[in-house]
Amino acid sequence: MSTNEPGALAALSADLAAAVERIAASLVYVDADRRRDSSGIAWDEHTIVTTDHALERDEDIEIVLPDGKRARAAIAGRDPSTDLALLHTEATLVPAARADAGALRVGNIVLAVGRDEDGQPAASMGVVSALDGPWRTWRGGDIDRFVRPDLSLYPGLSGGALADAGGALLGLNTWGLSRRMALTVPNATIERVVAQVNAGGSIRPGYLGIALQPVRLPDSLQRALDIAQEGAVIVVDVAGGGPAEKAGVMIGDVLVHLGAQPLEDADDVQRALGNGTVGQALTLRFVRAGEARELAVTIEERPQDA
Amino acid sequence: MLSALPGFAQLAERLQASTVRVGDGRRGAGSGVVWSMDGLVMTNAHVARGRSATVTFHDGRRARARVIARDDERDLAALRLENVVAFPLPVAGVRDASSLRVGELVFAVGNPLGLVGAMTAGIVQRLSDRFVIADLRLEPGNSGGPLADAQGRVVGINSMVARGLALAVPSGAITDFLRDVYAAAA
Repeated sequence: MSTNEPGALAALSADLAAAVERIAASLVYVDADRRRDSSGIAWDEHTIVTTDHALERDEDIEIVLPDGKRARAAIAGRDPSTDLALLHTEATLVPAARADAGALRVGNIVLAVGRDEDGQPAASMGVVSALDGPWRTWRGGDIDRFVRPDLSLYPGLSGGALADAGGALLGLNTWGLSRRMALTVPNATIERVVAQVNAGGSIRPGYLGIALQPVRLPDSLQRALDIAQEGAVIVVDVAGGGPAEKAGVMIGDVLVHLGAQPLEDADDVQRALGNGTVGQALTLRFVRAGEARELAVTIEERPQDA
Repeated sequence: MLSALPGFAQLAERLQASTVRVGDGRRGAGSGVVWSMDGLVMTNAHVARGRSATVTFHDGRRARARVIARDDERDLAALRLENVVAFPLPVAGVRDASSLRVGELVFAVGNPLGLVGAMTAGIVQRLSDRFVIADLRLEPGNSGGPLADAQGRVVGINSMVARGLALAVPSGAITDFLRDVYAAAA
């Protein structure tokens, strides 16, 4: 039987191995949880980005570098809303080369790459299964683009890289944003969160301390309030000691506007509480007993357990 | 996706030719790899439980085979064909698995779910001394069949699935096993 000439298949195989090697040079194992293995990505020479949900503890965090050596790392910032956390280390890292995300297409071959506790790289392969525009996580975080890879995100690969077939970084893979599937937080979102942490700003979304339900705003009320808005949200619960309670919001109030944001559903409220609102006093327009009213609410950080 | 690349058809054909179905007359059948010109077929110990087995080639030809050695720890068994059904035998090319790199393409061929010569593709997931660990789908009938590189060279014998990952006995362990077998026979 004649042997095959190394053809296109062998070339692709060599390219994929080289791609794994290239991105793996920027990946570490993150030792911050007794039960869960996870990886982290070198974003710059001393900063690692990883998943927030896999940080079981705030101290005594260690990383395993590409050369197999262990090093200490400290938390520089956490953003549960996007499931991102930043670690700082004194060790010098090789920052991951970032891919041009604009060129990404459904069907592209992609690799999920991480590092195990022994310092060895681990990978899986698949294709880009779905792409879409910006979306909001269940914890109210803004993700710049919906990226769903079709691949097996084995234990330990979470927190690691989604890389293109050339080994350039497309984003961070996580199990933390959906119960049903592994998703990728794209570079643009990581960049934004890193910038916020570096600027010393809060990366936690604002918090009002209320539970809501959408309601229809009757025509008569729309006319009385002089607004063209068909829906609003009604307050069904007020957290004790929360910003809304302190400002005087009561159960039954129908909220129409917060700051510049019209409120027609719960998503609008999250939008109004987006990044940078913590500490700000926003004007809340609402209806109580058929009358339009206004209050100033000082937005706070969401408590850890809320 | 991969099947569109030039060379894929030859690779599949070549691997299928060296892959056999191994039945020991009891439970479901597994797979095996035609290993040498003198009629040696390699499979898993858990596929060849008896003293003999029936080997079916891809083209449907059958042969009886004697189980000449079995190592439950390595999950390997060596069979010797008792009658020559093809000449030359479609012997598989072999590559030392220790030279594999994470991310390399690998292919498995076997007879899962009653399918003959079914192929799955994936990549080397991580390196380990005990197994070739691959991000690749295996079914029970794949046991004993080849895991091969992008040039069709066998790097291991598919043995089990753990947490969704394919585990294959590396070619180096097969070489060691056969050295022990021949040393015992000498």
